[in-house]
Amino acid sequence: MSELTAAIIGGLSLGAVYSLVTLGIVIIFRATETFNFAHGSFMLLAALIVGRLQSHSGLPFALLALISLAIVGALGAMLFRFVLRSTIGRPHFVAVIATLGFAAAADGVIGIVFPQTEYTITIPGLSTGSIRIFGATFSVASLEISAFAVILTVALVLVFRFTSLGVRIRAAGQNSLLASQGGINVHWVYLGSWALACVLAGVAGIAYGSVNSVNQGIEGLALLAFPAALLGGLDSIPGSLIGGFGIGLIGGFVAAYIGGEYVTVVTYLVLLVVMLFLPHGIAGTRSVRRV
Amino acid sequence: MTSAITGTGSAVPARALDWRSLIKQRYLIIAIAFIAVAIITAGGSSYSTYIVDTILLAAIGAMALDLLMGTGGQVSIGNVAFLAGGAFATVWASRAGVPFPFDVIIGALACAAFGFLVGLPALRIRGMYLALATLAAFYLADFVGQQYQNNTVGAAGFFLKPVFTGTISQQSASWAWLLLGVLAATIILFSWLRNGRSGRAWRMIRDHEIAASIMGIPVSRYKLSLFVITSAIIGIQGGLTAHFTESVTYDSFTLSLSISVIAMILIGGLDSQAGPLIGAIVIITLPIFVPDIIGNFVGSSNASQDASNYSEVIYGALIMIFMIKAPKGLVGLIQAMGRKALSRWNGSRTSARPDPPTSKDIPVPSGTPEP
Repeated sequence: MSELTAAIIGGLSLGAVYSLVTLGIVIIFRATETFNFAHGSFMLLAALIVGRLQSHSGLPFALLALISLAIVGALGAMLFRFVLRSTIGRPHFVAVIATLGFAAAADGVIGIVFPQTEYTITIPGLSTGSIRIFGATFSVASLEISAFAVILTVALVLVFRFTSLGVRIRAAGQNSLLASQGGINVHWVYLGSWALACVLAGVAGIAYGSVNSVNQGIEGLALLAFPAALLGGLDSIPGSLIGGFGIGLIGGFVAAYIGGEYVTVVTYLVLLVVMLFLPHGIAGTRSVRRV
Repeated sequence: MTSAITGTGSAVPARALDWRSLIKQRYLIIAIAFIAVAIITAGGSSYSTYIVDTILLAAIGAMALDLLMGTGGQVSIGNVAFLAGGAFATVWASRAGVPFPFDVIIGALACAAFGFLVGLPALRIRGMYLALATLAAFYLADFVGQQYQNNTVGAAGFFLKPVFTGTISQQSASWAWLLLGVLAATIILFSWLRNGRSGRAWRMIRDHEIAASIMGIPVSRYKLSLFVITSAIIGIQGGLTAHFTESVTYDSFTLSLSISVIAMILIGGLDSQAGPLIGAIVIITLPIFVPDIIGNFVGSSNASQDASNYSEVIYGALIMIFMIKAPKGLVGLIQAMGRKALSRWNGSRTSARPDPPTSKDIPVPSGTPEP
């Protein structure tokens, strides 16, 4: 019984963070049809900035979080403006390789600027202590963080669904020519999508880092969001919730019943199965050409 | 793209020096590599011989990845999976008592089988989705290697006996000759594959898969054979790396190692004979030269401490720059420079001769007559 609750609640709380990361990946895919392999670097960078400044300066957490999110948002916009915009019209994998290059460069910079291997983030107002649910113990802080991640993701999904901003972003991604004819500034939409997605990555990084420690493992978390994005449907914004929680639950059950070291490999086997047999994901559009 | 290159190549007068066909000459590359190895093993320190060994090893893998990505257009970011596969299969064979060159061959065969498995999804998945699928291959290989290592020897990893005897510098020199031989064999095999029917088929599949299948090219067979061949070569690189470093642990096979090989082929130039070798030289020597250059700015102790980080920044930036500005890599830049110099030279000898037409700028009849 305790294993079952550990699997479900642990999986769901991790899935909430996955959803946030996945949403960023889906937004970027919707806007520019690229995988951002540097997503993990943005997560890690935001968390490291907060972690390092928190231990060295006495600035309040909210200010530090704003600074770090502004930095990753600006970096994401710059990555699009100066690198990826030049790859428009070339094969899609060109942009993907370019994000890989960015990830390598960002890793190097992170290694130089943040010499410690681990940092910690403390968010004031977060509960301490733990809670027992059906025989399994959970830290209250991690549940609070997950609730925050879910609320943020759902709010953004609703924004994309119901506001004119959301319609613009979806339109620019679907058909840039028609969208620009309709008076949408496609370039700004792309730039904004990249900045937003990277800010979301930063939020996820800070959120995850506040209940776990901040280290290179965060980048692995971002790579696990790709299976989540494919499971939910790469072009489906609500699908990021389905995919995030799906991958989170799979990870939770694998960790509880088989062993923690199997999580990554099982998740990627799920990715292969989804790619081969369900290429549009659970909620994605069938016409997304992958095969 | 390729037709444009060959088109201009054949139109150049025979008496002028044709740098483009010269640089493509496989034997020229092998000869240059031979001379370089001969000079360094004879006169250089054991450290510089060691660097040459590392470059030759990296070049073998880069050649294979270039054939896969550059010629075949199959994007793979999990290529380190095959490196790990080759290394672990070699270790397994070596522990089972197979003597040196044969355990590497077993590693290569195991990798060929693994490459066949990874190639199967590639029949359905293309482009950046394939890149993601190869990431799955990486995690799979990493996991299997980790399990095998933890269940046999534990965290310290496997240790192998040295292959060659003698002093350190003698061993390094022997390795240099062995690796040069393997590299030369790889270059000859690949140029034979690349310039023949299979090369044309792979490029056709890369540029337009549907058109290729309509033209009667057995797409599946060519894709699978491409994966099998390149995986086997990367497996040989893995097995040789295992023997060369004399130790194998799963945590040395990282994703950033994969990206560095991609950097090699992009910087050198995709789908070219010399490109992977040039790229391997650039990427392997970066961490050696970078501390000296960066040291001028930030102080030498910091620079040498962060050498790998600085070189990671540089090759990451180089990937982006080459991807945007020079998609044909250094080989493409050299060719362009050679072409410019050639046309200037020809221009000074004869009257200004217009560039021979390429497939891109074949004159299209237009409505407006030229004045």
